Amino acid sequence: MTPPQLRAENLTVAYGDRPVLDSIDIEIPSQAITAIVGPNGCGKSTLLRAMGRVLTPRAGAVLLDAEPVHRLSTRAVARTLGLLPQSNVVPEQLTVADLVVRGRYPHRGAFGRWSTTDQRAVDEALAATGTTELADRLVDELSGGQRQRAWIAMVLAQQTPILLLDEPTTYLDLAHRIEILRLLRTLNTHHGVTVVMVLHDLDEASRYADHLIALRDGAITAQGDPREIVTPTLVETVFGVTCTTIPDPITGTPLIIPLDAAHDTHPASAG
Amino acid sequence: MTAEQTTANATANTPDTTAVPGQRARTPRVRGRLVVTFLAALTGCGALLALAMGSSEIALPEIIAATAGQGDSGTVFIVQQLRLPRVLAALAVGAALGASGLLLQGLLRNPMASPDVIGVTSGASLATVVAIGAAVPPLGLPVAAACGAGIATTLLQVINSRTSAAGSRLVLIGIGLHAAASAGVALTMARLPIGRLGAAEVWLAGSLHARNWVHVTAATIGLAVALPAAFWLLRRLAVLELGDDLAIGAGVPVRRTRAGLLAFSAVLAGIAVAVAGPIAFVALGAPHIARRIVGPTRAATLTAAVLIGAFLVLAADVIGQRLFAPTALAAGVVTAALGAPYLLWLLHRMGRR
Repeated sequence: MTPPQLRAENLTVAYGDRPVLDSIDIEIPSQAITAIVGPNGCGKSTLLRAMGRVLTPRAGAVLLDAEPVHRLSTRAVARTLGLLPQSNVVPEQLTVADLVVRGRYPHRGAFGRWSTTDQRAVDEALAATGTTELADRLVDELSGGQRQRAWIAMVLAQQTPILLLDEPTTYLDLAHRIEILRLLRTLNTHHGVTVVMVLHDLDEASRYADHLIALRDGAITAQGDPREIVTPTLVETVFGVTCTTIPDPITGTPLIIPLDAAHDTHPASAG
Repeated sequence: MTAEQTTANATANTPDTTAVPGQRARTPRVRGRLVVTFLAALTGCGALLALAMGSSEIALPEIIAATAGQGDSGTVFIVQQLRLPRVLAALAVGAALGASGLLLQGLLRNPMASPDVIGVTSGASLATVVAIGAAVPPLGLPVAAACGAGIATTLLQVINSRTSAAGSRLVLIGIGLHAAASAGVALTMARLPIGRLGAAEVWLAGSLHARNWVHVTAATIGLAVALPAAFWLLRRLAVLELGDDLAIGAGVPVRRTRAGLLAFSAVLAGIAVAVAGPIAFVALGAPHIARRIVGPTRAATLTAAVLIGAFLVLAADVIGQRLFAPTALAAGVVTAALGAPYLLWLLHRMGRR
């Protein structure tokens, strides 16, 4: 089976009268990791949410295998496209196992029986995210990193070939950020999952993504392999930060070194 | 491990359950089933006791025989025409309130939400009081109450759809609606002729006095439609509780599900109000207790809320009849009296968290 193709054509999204995304064309590379980066308010979350059909486009369309996602049955889309939003609600007394089982909804519907396939999907999702031991714990009582892994497990239980994640590493400390990014990398390499995520950190995005989409003011500034497109010019255009880039000593991917104007004039270093 | 599996695995897939690695899948499911069995037994015993108690004490075996139409004609009349419909009406009203509250609390993601708070009950009250003023015969009152609940819900939906779908907004609109309808009730009461004031007062207290088979039949038909719908919406609700965006991602049609939850919650509340008038607290307390003992939304939680609601209204009615006998209190008065301390305790606990 060929992996499903996700792309956006002439995608325009507006909140009320305020346009947030303006005629965007993108093609998400299948079975690769794509990171969407850009300054706050540039529309990167909006782009992800539009691709996840949470937002209805004003014009244009998000196409899943050439079919507009808004016309497809939402449950059918949910079997191909998983979405982890940035902020979610944790009901009282919900255990990790309860949470992950809810990810099977698109495969079961209202009265579908719990099948061996469902159980296997849940077990695999727990194992892949290292949350098997946490299955009986209350989601409420988990640490930030554990909780994020539990949410990812829920989306994994959906068993979709494409995963959309909105800032999966925000609010996590360094160790947990790396843990989540490695997990996504493993899902991609071992299971061929297409990952699309919004990331804040350009270094992390360059290191873990195969494909980068840089947004500014609701339009695409650049897209492509981070090794090729992440340049001082791009960072200057997108973030308005003057910098230089050096290759990451381990991976060779670009690292951003901001040139701090204040630093140059700092008495201690100036002297 | 959830809900849904409780029902699923009860019927099939036994090899699957045994194949589950680890025990985690077992505990909550077994517990849910135990709780539901216990609650069903409790409610059943309560119903039998309620049949046996009254101004003339009748022994339990005689009661059981009389429900089947056997025994002396006096006893059969008391049981079949007076006590049985009243007990069944109490159970139906409580069941409807329990389910209504569970759907609404899940929809609004607010454990303090109930149809009393968002104006559905007071809309029904207003319609009924107006109907009493218009000298509608007693059997027409449930129809009026159901219409009132329906109109209140429609208003709620229309105003809410013009703004955003956020839960807190819906609560605010509901509170406004509730205030307006309550004012309407007070105004109508002030203009009622003296002769009809008594009937309106009794109805507004939430009483099961003199409920007959017509009420029972109407409530049963209503429940036969609304309860399966509630169970059908339950898995969607379980996902919706995790957040709107996540629910969309997981394939839940969020708009339609919200509308459905609100509509069926209102239908269930409407059934209860139509039969017994406004009965406070049960729609808030029953689902709350159910969640505490069964856990988050799953089939067993709804079943438990239904059973707890049924038991609460039945108990309130029996207590109201017996506590100050021969003076009887309306069930609604008893639930309100029991509900107030529970609510305070709940607020106290929420404040500490």
